[in-house]
Amino acid sequence: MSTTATEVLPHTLTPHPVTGMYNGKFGLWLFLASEIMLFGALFSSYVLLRVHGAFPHHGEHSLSVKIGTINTMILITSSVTMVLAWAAFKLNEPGKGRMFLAATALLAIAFLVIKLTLEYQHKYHEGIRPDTSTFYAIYYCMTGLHGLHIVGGVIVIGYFLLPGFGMWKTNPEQYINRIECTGLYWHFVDLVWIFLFPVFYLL
Amino acid sequence: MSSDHGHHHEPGFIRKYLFSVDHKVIGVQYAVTSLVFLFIGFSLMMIMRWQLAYPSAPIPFIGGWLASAVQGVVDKTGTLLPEGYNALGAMHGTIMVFLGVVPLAVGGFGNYVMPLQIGAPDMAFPRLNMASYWVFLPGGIIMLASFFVPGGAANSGWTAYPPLSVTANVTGTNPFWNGQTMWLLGMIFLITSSLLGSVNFIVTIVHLRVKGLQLFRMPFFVWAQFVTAFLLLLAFPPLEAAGVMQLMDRVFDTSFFMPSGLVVSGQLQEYSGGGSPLLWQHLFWFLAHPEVYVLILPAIGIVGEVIANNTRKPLWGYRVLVYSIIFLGFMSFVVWAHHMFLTGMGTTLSTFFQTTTMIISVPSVVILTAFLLSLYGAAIRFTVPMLFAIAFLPMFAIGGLTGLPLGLSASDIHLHDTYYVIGHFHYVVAPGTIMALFAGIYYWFPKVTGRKMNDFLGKLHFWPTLIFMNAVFMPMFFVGLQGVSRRLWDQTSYVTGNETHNWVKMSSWGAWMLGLSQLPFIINFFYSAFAGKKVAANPWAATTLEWAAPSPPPHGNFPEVPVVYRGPYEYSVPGSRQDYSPQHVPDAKLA
Amino acid sequence: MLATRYWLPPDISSHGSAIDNLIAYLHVFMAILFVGWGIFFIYCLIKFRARAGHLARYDDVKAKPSKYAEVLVVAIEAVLLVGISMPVWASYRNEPPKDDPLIVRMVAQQFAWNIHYPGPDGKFGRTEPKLVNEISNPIGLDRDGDPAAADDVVSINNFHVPKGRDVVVRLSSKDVIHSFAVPLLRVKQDVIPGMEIPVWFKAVKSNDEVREAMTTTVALPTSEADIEPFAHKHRGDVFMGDFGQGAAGQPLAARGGWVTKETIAALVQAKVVEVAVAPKDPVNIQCAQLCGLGHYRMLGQMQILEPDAFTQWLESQTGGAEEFIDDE
Repeated sequence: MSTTATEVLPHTLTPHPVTGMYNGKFGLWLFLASEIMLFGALFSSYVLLRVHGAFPHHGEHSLSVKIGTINTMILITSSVTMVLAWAAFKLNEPGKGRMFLAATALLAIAFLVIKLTLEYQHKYHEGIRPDTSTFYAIYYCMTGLHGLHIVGGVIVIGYFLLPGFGMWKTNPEQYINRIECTGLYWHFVDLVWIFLFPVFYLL
Repeated sequence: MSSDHGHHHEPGFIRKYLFSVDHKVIGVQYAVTSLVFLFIGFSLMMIMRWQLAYPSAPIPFIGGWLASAVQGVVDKTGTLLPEGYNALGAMHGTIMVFLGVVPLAVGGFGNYVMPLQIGAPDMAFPRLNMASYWVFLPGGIIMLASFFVPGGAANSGWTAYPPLSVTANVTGTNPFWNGQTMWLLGMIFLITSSLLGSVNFIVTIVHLRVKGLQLFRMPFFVWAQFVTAFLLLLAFPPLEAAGVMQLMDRVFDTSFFMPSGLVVSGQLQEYSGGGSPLLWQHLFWFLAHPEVYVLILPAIGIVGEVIANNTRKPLWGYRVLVYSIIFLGFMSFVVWAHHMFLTGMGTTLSTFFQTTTMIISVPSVVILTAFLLSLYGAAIRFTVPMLFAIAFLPMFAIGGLTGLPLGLSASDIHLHDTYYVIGHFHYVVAPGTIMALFAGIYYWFPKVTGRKMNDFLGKLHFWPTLIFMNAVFMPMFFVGLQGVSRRLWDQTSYVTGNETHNWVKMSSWGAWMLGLSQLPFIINFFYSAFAGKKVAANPWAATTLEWAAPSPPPHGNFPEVPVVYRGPYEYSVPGSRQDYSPQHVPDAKLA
Repeated sequence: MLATRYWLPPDISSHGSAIDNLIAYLHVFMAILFVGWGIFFIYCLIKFRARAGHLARYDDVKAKPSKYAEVLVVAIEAVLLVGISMPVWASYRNEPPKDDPLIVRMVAQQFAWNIHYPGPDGKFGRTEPKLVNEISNPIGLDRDGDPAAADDVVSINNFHVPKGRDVVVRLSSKDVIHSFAVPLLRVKQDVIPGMEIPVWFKAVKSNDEVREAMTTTVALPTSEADIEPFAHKHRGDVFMGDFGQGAAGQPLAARGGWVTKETIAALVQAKVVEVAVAPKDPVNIQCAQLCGLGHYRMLGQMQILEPDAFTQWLESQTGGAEEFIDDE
């Protein structure tokens, strides 16, 4: 279709001269700013609770650094596959692009499965739940919220992989933009985990 | 995204009026819904004021109905119960702020007017806009539904301080089916709706302005919405986080906010403990202070528009106004703990927050002064919108000035959590913001409907509203100076409460008369929408872009994309033929 | 007479005058600003109303006076902040009295104030949440296990303090956030569970003196129907004199007796025209933070006694958990 039909709203596709971004990208960055405030508030709460003495540090928690490291590697890899997906679409290689999208989603699902079974379920069996101690309360809260964000990302990737793939044919430029925005979101979710991991598992 | 525009088939009723992506339809949806919520929230207070004026007397007319319809609010004689008083109070605050004023000021006015004022065909993300309304509405319904669940609605204040909010409303076995948990769930919906909206506003304002509309040619209303959107975007997430944590404390028995060793009603609480009630307060007020600027900024924007138009001259100090409002938005993030002076705060923190609070009073004073100076040398037309806009000025002054004794911690010792606080913030929101919103309704009604509201009914609405607003809230300062606490079901058992009871009665009668005073408005609103005098595109002879579109504007807003040639308030330009030079008319066509 | 200023209640504390001064200066400042703005406002509304032949001016008026005014406003705010509020706050929070203060613990709960005195040994007995019994041991005092607890005194809702001596109150809560507020003493402090927060004051007038100063003469109702509302309005009051005369020559209403419906009815029947009344407990303790459905009835009473009377009172208390709730 012609570009005019898809850009009745200015800058849907063409970047704005001042911000250098198209609408969706700018919108996503703003959304990420609010997400930084959300996770920032939770990290600050962790700091406040820990300083307040809400949970003793030594020996209190038994989070597996090994599992955490594996999950970190998985997520970082998924960020790489996400970029590769976007690059492939930009280079007009939709087959490769879809493959990398699928890889990203699968890696994300692996992350979630490991978290849910090897970590959450295991802890529940040991009797360690959110109400056991405030450390675990905030651990479950933050990793849970992060996990929900991953689920959201998987749903979006799944959408663009399957039902939403039609847009590649009708409006490839906009499709690429959407993959780019998804990538931005995905990198952010990865970044949150890069902070979560040391705070809960290492420090 | 906007591929609908390429097709010209008429959408059906559902697509056109219900699930529309047109910012104008969404704006009207927000406006009408929030006006209904405002009415409900105000009614709750009218009920409470009966108990305050006539303690332990059964509520007339509706006491019996309340006893049968709703749990936990009145006893079987129709007298308001203490827990019912607390529930109505908590819900009054919540509904007015989150379901009434903000959705009307931002979702209603912002959505409808802003894209028109920047010459855009719609918002940057029309479907996101629609989504934000349809997330707002369920949030509101959840809030209202909470009155009908076991234990009744949330009753721990709109501030929901734990441990009270965590230990309250726990009748019944289902951990979700109670008032406080539903309040938290409702808040999550409302916050999400707000976040979606604020992203949309910012991208639209930055990216979708037409050619010639540089930032410093934007109407002041657009600047106000711009700053407001940043406040909503960045301040709400901490409350979302806090809401999730409080939900976990209630449903999963975590101890984010629950210290160890609590004994509630003789029962030792089995929490893991170690949590901090102050953590909630910091997270809550980190949002809630910017939130109050969200309440006032759009109103200031509206007042600016109406004053410029009805003084027939540019606003005084446009640049000063813009810098002030940006500074105000920024400062609003660093004053929050002035709500927490009495939590055991020491000198370092209190000095910091007192200082920032004093600093934030400066841009407010500048904005008010600039508006006053805008009246100097004017040719003031006392139209109905202008009456409300003018009245806003002294009312906002009283509200703002009475913030000073509260913002200094030493005087706050005596005034904290007294009626003085209630008087202060209501002056800013009620005779302040709400009257500015009325100004906006009367002003933009012709654009939305193509008809003017009736002037006589408008004046009949204005004068009693102004008088009774003062009748309700001025006495509260006297009651507060005597030290009478807030949120008391019966103040008369206290010596100071007993002595000030006549003021309380005056507030109550003022409130009921204020309610009656809205009847001319309600009648006018509906009558004029269908049978009001028809007007053309620009009945107020205004300069900003929305008046260049037809009344009402069609889908896509402007038959021809406008171009902007000048600033927003070029009224009475020396040497010009008319006393107004619209932004979109080239110089050649003006002279 | 007790001094009251600008709608403030009487101040019977040693530190309150600084707070009252700040409130007064602020309101004068606010009034000056408001009146100044208001005069300009009304002037403009009249002088610059639209009328035939009157045109608006396009140029911005040079507003030098308002720039100076703005600077002055900021300067005054700075003076009030640095000159008054900061020092007052510092002494309110940082400088507990060192001169032999009476130290008490106060444990707030839904919906009462528990006051815990350390007794002659000057040591507070240990308290433990597990030991709490709402009827017999509301603060969970370990009377059996801790020897220091044996002479402790616990009183409920009536806070006895000596006049003219510093009192330090260590505030804590059993359940939710409360706020200890005594307007006449210019004292307010949030009571937060999990924290112990101290607040201090010195009362310079006793309850008796305050009651005398608050005595007012009121006209008795003339009709039957008004007796009940009158009695209800004055239900916390006592007579400040003898009024009326009964058959045996005794007064119908004696000094210090409660104002009741029956007494008022008798006085009205005896054609007494007016009486002098005052609140029996004129210095209230309020809860200043919503704490549940009983928030409105978390009414406590300061019992400010002359030093000897206070010592007598304290000595008369046993170490047991007797309740001193003033039932009306």
